[in-house]
Amino acid sequence: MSHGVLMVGAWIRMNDMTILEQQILNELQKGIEPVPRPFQRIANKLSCTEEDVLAAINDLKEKGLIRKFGAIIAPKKMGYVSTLAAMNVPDDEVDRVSQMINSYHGVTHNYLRDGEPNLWFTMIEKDDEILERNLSQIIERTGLKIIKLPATRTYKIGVRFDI
Amino acid sequence: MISEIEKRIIFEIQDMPLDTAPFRVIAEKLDIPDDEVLRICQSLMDKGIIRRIAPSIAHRNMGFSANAMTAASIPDEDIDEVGMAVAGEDDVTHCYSREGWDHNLFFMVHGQTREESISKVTDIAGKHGFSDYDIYFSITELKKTSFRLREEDLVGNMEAGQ
Repeated sequence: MSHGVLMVGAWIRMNDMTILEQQILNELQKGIEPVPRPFQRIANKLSCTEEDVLAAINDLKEKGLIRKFGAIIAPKKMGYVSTLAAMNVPDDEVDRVSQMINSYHGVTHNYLRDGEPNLWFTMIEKDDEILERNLSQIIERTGLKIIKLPATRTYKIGVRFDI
Repeated sequence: MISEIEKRIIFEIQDMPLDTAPFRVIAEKLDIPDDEVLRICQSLMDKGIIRRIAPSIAHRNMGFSANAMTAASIPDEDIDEVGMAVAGEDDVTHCYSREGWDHNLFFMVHGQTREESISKVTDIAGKHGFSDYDIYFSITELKKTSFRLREEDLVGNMEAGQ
């Protein structure tokens, strides 16, 4: 038995992905084009069927390895505004505060991090007025401060990982 | 800035129909020609409103566990130069300048372990000549979703709070 096969076994246990799923995921991460049969290119390249590609997407979603498959949108290009926000939340209030923050649709990311501040979230809204209103509401409801950290320049965003 | 039909199409392809001809499924649902859907998608991609049509990976489930957000203080006059240089590092996935705090450069490094992330950040800081920074490791991912249009974002007036 070759070393390669053992490595593969380790991958499957670790990530719960078959080799074909890994290959399909790698190809999908390059993105599909708006053409009548967008999965044909990947199927041809990997010598599988379009149905195999679709089944892999479905499986990866069910396993929770991908959150969704579809258009990744740049909300700012649609005129939306966003900010990173940081708060310092006492340990015993993290659950309550984070649940309240997460209830806002515009909050897309929220992390508890080591250090101070310890709660870091991003909020995207249609305009500044709604964004400010939401942040003020959070300050009011928690009695805590928010450091608002809007991006002034984006140097790099969202790089895909090779699996 | 963005038309109603564009928004409607974005709404439909945020989570793609799993079909060999997904754009036709959308065209049928919206009762417009297939070609029109393809053309509008291409135009949204050209305009950068749709960045890609691709999977959104759940990183935390994939072994990239030591997500290290680094916040550094860079002199204002150097920020663009340092920001672009840091962004050029393969290990850096996100890099922004931000206002509102003493730290003004934020970048993200994903390592398999904290030690690996610290070592990557130390190298980057050394290489690009800054020393005033803090690393904020993620302890818990409390929310991570993709930006999505909601049904209520589609109809007429933009009126939606949270």
